[in-house]
Amino acid sequence: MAELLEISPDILAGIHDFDWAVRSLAHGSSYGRRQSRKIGAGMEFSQYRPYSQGDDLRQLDWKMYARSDKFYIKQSEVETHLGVTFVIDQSFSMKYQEQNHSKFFIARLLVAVLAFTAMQNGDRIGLAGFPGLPVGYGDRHWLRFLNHLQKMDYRNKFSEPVIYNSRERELFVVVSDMYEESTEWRQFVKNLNTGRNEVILLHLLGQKERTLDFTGPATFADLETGVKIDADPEKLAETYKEKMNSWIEMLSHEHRMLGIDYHLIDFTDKVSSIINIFLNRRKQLL
Amino acid sequence: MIQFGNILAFAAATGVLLPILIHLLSKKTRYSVEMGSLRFLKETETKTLQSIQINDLWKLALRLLIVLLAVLILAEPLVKKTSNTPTLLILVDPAYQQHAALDKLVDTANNLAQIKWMDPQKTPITEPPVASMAVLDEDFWSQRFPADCVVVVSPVLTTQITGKIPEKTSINRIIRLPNEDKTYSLMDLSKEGKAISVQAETSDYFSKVNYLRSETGRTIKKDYFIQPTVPIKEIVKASLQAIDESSLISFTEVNDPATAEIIFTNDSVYWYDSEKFVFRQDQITTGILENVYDRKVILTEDLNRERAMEYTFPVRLERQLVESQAAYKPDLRILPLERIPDPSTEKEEKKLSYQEAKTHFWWVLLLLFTIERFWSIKTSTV
Repeated sequence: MAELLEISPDILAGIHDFDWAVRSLAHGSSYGRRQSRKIGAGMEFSQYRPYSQGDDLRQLDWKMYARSDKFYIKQSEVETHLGVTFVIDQSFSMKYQEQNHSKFFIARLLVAVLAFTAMQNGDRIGLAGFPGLPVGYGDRHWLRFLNHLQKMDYRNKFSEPVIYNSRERELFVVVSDMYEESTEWRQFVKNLNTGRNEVILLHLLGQKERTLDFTGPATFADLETGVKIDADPEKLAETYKEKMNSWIEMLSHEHRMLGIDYHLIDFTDKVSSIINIFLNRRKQLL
Repeated sequence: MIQFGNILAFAAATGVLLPILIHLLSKKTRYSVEMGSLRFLKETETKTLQSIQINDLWKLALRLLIVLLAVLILAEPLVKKTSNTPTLLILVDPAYQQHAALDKLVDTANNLAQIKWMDPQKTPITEPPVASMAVLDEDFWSQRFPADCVVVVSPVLTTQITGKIPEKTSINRIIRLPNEDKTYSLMDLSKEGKAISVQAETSDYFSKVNYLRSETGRTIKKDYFIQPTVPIKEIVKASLQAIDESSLISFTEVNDPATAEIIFTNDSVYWYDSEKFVFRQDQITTGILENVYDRKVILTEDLNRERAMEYTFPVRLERQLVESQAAYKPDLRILPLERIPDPSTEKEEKKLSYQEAKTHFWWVLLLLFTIERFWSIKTSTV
């Protein structure tokens, strides 16, 4: 993971500690702890409601009864633990670099920031991939999570990441460039999107990658297949952009139709906006 | 045809390596970009990549052309003047195949004209001719050997050949190699099954036909001196008949009795007036006959005017070029091509025959260079 130690991106200038960087980013985003919408028995008072037949007598507020001579049930906010599993595309195509940062690095950084934010909000975090990590909570789990994240490496071909079964609702955050041989990634994301689970798809693409903003004749090499092509990007840019945009449009449409939260993420996008996307989505889940 | 004044300049042709080097280097200067996927690039690339490569190749070809043109200019190209430059074709009778003087003729003619065996196979003179030569019609010769001027080198077949040379050729001449101790067959006679060889030669004043016939171990040799325009075949035919009848005949004719006196040494004298086609034995002048009159003059009965007329056909023999084998030096100056280079004045002749083509090449070079620059700037993306 020398790459992590050597980086000095704009957003992480001078920061060498991954954990610290993630914490800085997450705190800097000024998002507070989540508020659960679920009402039930708990420590924190929420409201009173009149007793109805079948309610647990243990929940009766006797002090209220003494004051009003009526039976009331005391309700509190319930502590909920949402499981958030992050999936990172480990294919060779993620090696693609812009501004000296590989897509893979940015993906992991994003995942780390989002995971930290999730933990701060009381969620349990997990990692699907190679190596994978079941959802968990706590400082020790966070360190394990970071360790796993840093151990992640490229894999030659698409292999479906291992998903640890959970009985609770889960939020899957998939970070991928969506380059696929046939439809393996789309199928995988589609399978994750069950009635119980939610999926956020962060489609990671570079600015130059989208617009083919290169000058002069160049030899383009496919990171996955090794195929090389000589081309003059300036001549091809227009057509390339059209095809790329229609592909993005197709992916966006397809996933939105399935109820998957699709977001095109640029290398230059602010991390805060990405965290925002994440938090908004998880709010809907709770 | 282009000639060059400075052959050494072709050493500069190594300059073609320069555009090749540029082409190869420009390929190397492409930088490398690693992409996550070439899917969209491939979809848009196929034609453009080919066009880039083809474009580069065309550019390379253009640059090579420019370098080669520059080399040509350095080599001082000379273009043959279009005026007075008839193409010359020399057809050599296969009968001359073993002739010693042929080599001299070929050496001299090789730089001036095409030289081929006069046979239907269009065989180059460097190879042996075909065994037999058919007499073909005029169309054949004109299609086979198109040339402004055709010179035929033949001993005796002139009768058949001259009529077949295309009329469109400016001048046709027939030259003969110096006489050797050798005979040439007349095709017509051979056809008649006569075991006879006939040799013919002509001069300004006379044509001489002699024949050899080997019969019962005895060789009979006879000479006939006739006027150049007289049908040789006719005379020979008549003579053969005389021989068949075992009568010796020497048949001589001259225009001028005075010359006849000089040349005539044979046993018999007969005077032939070609203009009137009358054999006039009685008109033989005393001056001539003084020396020979006491010898036998025998004339066969078959040789009469009617018989002679029967074999009459146009014969056109040209001047004999050389006098003897030893003195033979083929002087092709007399051929229709006027500008035959003399070794001593070869350079001068070259200047006369060729004009500098440098200017034209400069214009082409300038044009190509402009195209190349315009193209390069337009397609340059670096």
